[in-house]
Amino acid sequence: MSVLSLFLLLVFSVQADEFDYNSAWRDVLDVVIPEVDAPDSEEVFPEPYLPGTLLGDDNLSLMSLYPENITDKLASYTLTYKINNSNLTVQYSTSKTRPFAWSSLGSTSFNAPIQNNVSPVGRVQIIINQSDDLEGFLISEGDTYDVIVDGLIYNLYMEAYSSSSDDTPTVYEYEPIIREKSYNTFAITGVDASGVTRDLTSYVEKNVSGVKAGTSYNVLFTNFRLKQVPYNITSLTFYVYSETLEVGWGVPSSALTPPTSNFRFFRSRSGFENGDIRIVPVDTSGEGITNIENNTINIENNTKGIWDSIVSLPGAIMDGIIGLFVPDDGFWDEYYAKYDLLLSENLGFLYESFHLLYELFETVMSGSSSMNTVEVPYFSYDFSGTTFEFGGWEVNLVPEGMEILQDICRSISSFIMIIMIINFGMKMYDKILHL
Amino acid sequence: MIIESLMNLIYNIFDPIISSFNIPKFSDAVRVILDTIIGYFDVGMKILKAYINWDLAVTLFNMCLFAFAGYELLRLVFFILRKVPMFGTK
Repeated sequence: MSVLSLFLLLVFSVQADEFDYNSAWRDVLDVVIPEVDAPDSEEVFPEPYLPGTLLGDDNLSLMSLYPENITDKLASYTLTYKINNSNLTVQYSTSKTRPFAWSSLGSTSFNAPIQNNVSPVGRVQIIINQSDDLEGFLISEGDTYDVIVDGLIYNLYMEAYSSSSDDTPTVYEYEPIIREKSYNTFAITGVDASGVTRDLTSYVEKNVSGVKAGTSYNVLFTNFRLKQVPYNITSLTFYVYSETLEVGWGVPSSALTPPTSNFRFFRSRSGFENGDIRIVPVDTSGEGITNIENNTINIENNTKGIWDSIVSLPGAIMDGIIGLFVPDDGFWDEYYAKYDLLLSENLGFLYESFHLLYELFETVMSGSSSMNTVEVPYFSYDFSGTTFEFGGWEVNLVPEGMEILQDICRSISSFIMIIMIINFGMKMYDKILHL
Repeated sequence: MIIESLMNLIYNIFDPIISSFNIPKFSDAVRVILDTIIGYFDVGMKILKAYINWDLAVTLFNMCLFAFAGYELLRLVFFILRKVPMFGTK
């Protein structure tokens, strides 16, 4: 019993949002932002993109965005794209546990968001990202967002939409978007003085190592170069789109010039190993800026006087002693990521089996859902020439007018659970007394 | 640093061993079936969560686990204490 309890405790200590869900997406590691030559000083800068305009691929265009189902903090939208002359309808839904929706290329509609964190290969990923703030943000008409499709970043412009009859533009509040389960793509976006989000990634250098047939890659991203921009960038964000997390790096709005920094990217769960990531902004002559005044990242370390050094000496010694025994921040994440990658690459279905069990466990242990509708998964089976079909429809869990029944059930179940925990506590107390 | 070195050593020992395996993954057909099963499980959980205060249930469940773990830890401590003769614990 003790071993079981400790094991379960260990499992609980693993945060669900840091778990790697699908190793299959590592196959897209080589789908990164296309490497282009560094911009020269005479580059003609494009005009700010218009609503729905493409940023990278002529095969895709954003047609429109319509709200489908608006509840308090839960919304789903239909995004209509045109890809390779085929119409594609994507349903995008937001929720804490299912932040993304996926859709098959070429299908006319997609009515089931990603199920159980499994991302079928060949589907389109939609990411709306505007803010690093996970406390929720507003999406309103005219806002622009980044959309990543097949590893390329597009700009998503919110069309005018309204759910009311008086044509008043409506602002909907969203749940926070946590970018997990995305492509392993690096990108830098910035917001200019007029508030327009722009893709600034211009140059990405990567080294690939550890390549084995049929496995994922270890990719070391060594160099980023920003686009030369003719406008003032008021904020800059460095995104690492991975399966598990994003790394965001914001520059204060007063810093109009992007600083440089070395990044040690330690979370290698998504398939690439440790490595320094340098973000090198370029000046108007095309040269990399490596030493910027008021670089808030480096200046702090360079201005320490002797007295400050003496004062900080005991703390530094203590930090050194602690450092002997306490791993650095992120070490365990990195360590876990290494094992996760190793096991997923080599243990095949054994790893996937445990992974599935963890998904089930996570589903059970995740909090209550605010959704009152569920979509029954579609299932079909051929039996002696007869096709048996089931599911694919949406079920309203709480019929209209029966909300009181839901409240009663919750109250009764809560009461029973509390009684049970009290009873359990009394028994446990008795057992402790008789130890 | 000590812990890190130790853990990295363990990893370096396991790495070549595990790397020697090359077990295939589930086929797409199996994967589809499993996804469907998990999908139904997910639907079942959503139904349950619609009528049960699941946040409370999870919290209480965690409390039970911590209580169990604490109890077992206490048993272990008492077990060790009983083994020390000078305490005279029985």
